[in-house]
Amino acid sequence: MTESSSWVPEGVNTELPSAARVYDYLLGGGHNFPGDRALAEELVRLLPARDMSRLNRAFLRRAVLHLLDAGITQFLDLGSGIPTVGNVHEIALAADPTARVVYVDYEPVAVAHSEMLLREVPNADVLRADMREPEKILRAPRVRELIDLSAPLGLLMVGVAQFIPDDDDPWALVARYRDALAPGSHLALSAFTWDNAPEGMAGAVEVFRHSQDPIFPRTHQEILRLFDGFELVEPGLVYTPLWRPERAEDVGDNAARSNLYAGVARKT
Amino acid sequence: MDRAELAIRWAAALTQVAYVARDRDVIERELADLLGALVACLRADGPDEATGVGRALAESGFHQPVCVRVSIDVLSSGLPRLTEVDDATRLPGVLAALAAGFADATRRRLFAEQQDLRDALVHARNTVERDLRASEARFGEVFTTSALGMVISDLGGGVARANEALEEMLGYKPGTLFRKRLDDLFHPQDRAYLRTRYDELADGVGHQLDERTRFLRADGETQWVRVAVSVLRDRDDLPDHHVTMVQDISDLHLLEHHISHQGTHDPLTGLPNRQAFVGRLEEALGTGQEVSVLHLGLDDFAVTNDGIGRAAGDHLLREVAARLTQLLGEQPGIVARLAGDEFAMMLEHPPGGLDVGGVATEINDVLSEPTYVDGQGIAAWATIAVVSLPSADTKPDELLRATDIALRKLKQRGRRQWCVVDPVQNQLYREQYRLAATIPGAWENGELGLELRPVVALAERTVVATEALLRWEHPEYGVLGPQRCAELLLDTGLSVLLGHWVLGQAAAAVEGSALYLELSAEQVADPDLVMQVRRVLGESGLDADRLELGMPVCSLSIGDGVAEDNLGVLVDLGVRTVLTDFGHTRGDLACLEDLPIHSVRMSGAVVSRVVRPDPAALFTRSVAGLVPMVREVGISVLVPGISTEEQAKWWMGVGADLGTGPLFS
Repeated sequence: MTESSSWVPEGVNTELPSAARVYDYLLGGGHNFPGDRALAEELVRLLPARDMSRLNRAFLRRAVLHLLDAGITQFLDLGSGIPTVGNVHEIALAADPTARVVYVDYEPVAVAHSEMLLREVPNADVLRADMREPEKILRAPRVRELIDLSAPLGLLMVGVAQFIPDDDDPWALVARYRDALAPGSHLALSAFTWDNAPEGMAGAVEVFRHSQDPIFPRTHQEILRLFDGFELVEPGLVYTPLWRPERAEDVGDNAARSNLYAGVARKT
Repeated sequence: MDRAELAIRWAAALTQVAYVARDRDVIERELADLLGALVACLRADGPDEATGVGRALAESGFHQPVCVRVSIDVLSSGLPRLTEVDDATRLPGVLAALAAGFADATRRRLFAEQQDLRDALVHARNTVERDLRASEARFGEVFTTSALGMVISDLGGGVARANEALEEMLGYKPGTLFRKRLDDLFHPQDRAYLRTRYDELADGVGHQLDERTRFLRADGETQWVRVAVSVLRDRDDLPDHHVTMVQDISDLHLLEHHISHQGTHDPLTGLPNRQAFVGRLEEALGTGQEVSVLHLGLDDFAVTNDGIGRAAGDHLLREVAARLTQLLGEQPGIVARLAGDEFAMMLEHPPGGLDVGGVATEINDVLSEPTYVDGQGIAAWATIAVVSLPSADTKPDELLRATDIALRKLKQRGRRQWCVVDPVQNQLYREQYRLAATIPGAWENGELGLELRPVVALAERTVVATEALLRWEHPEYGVLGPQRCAELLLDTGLSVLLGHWVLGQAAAAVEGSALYLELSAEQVADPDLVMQVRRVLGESGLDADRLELGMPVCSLSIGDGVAEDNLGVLVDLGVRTVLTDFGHTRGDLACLEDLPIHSVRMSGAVVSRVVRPDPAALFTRSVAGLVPMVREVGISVLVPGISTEEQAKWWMGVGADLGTGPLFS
């Protein structure tokens, strides 16, 4: 039994900013509320948040394309947020019409959005669940309908690991997913780090404290440990623009300002 | 600079500020096309066409305001340097049109997205409400069907909701806990502590409360429970209720204090049950301990139970349990309740042996002291079967079977008896019960049949009737004769049914001869006897006056009237009646005077006593005096079991007129 009443689903809270809607706003989307926009603008004063979002989103695309190249055709996108530009199913289905994608998020508006968007897409679905419950997610009929756990899976935890506090042991969480996956499965993960701009990041932590999704940035070493039991593919865990850039000039002279480390790894 | 070069610069600038999910090559081609359109505007088409370019730019994914700024930067310097552009005078107008088209597209896009957002919100609210309803229904179901007790209480301890499992656990009627105080359910000694912990939970001091404690049942008894308490919060995340899950751990608790007490103890008296007794006895025998077992059956317990009431009976049983326990005292041993009105005591022998007779007497002494229920003094008496010093390889179940048989035999003899179980006798009894138990199968398999014997007029030695008796051709023991069959039937409930069957068989078998048949006492008192006799007479064609039915004198002298009624009706039918087992008591003569009797059959015991008559013996003289008295009133005297001429002559001499026995077969 938990302390709060977990059997009552949290309602739709439009007052308290949500990370998913803040991310949408930073990416230029309109699926957000004044509170989300205000928080985003505060964030922009502390960190290059628009660039962080854009670079992270671009990493997602490159990672998915890489996984498709590696022969992965099914994806589980944890903390998928509001469907915005460059959704995983759009990228994957463009490359392989038989690819399957299941999105997972716990924010009801984000899920409702995804449901509306995916109504006509047979190969993609969305599950409302907390990514901290791998057993529930991996057992969910919606997931089982589209995803075969005996075959390699692309597990996407892009820009979400920082939402899991140490108390919830993200390392053990990733390991629980890892153990359920077939060999050859891949993990694509990116997460906020202190390493580049500790003060700005501390400010961001403070700002997110007043949202539905407090953040817990980590060091390179801590994020690297999330890949335990996987084999990182080249170039390892790096700032998002450095991960297999489409063009050398895209990296720019300050990749660290992305403030997110990213990596893709394979379960052997 | 050519168009492609400018497109690359434009794309590089845009992708630095905005993300579109397409390959850079694709983006560059798209932008090169837009450049083509812009060049056309500069040349001739006029600036208005540029609004379409702005619109296309926004719709291609570069819709953020920063994109138009970046684009104007790139284009205002780049467009005039394109080799294909020779006149840039229209440039400001073209860029202004582009910005306007971009703004228009962005406005439309934002509007559409906000519309989307509203739709999503409605959709999400519906989903959440549906989830909530489902969740509430689920919760309601869990709440009502849970085997766990559950109670929701406000922060002050008022019960807002309690489920039936909790009410049942604590002995409340369904629905009666609502609006009670939660604190009243706490055991007084734990009340203050629990309340403090609940308050701490609400204040956010503790996370969860999970511990063993005591609750109070409706009847004031203590209920051991494990509680898990959590806080329900309202929409503003403020605590407003406690949820308490309550698990009954009384079994667990008892288990810890008294190993599986419930499984091994009789709930009424608290004494160990039969299973526990057997276990303890086995242990004692196994360790070579010298023991005696006293098996007690309360006499006439049904009298108390049926006469005064079950409550009085229960009271008496508890009293017996207490007194036996007290009697055992500190002596090593055990007292147990084996079944309804059966108790057992095992005593370990002190050095120098044990006076079991003394113990048996003592038991009846302490039991006979009355105990009072509603002012009525009731007491118990017991018949006791004792096994002293059973051998170490005795099986406890076997031992209790032996005492059980001995008890039944003892009870047939009277009350407040005790005996030491005789292993040989017990073996015989056991054999007899075993045989008796297989009679129904023997009957069905055709092993039961008739033995026909002649009834002879002693003077003329002519056969006047045929006696029919039951016999059993046992596949293992050979033929079991009528005497043995009669003994076995006493231990079954079959004597009436079998008796009627024998009657029917015999009537068909005698073929014209008169039939003499002895009925058992139960058969004589059977309300269906007359109907059975009528049926048999009708079916066999036997004349009523050719049927002689023997009835034990005991069944007629102390009956409740049914036997006498049967006798009267049979006589009216014309059936001849024989009083059997005659000659034991003076009451037998009274029967002769009172009842319509045609003959008497002397008791077998009387006959065997005068096999070698001593004319001077008192018994011989009384028999010699009795027979003529009977004959004088016109009643025949039948003597069974005559095996010698000498016997036949003596009986004929004292006046008997009929005989049966080996001599005539």
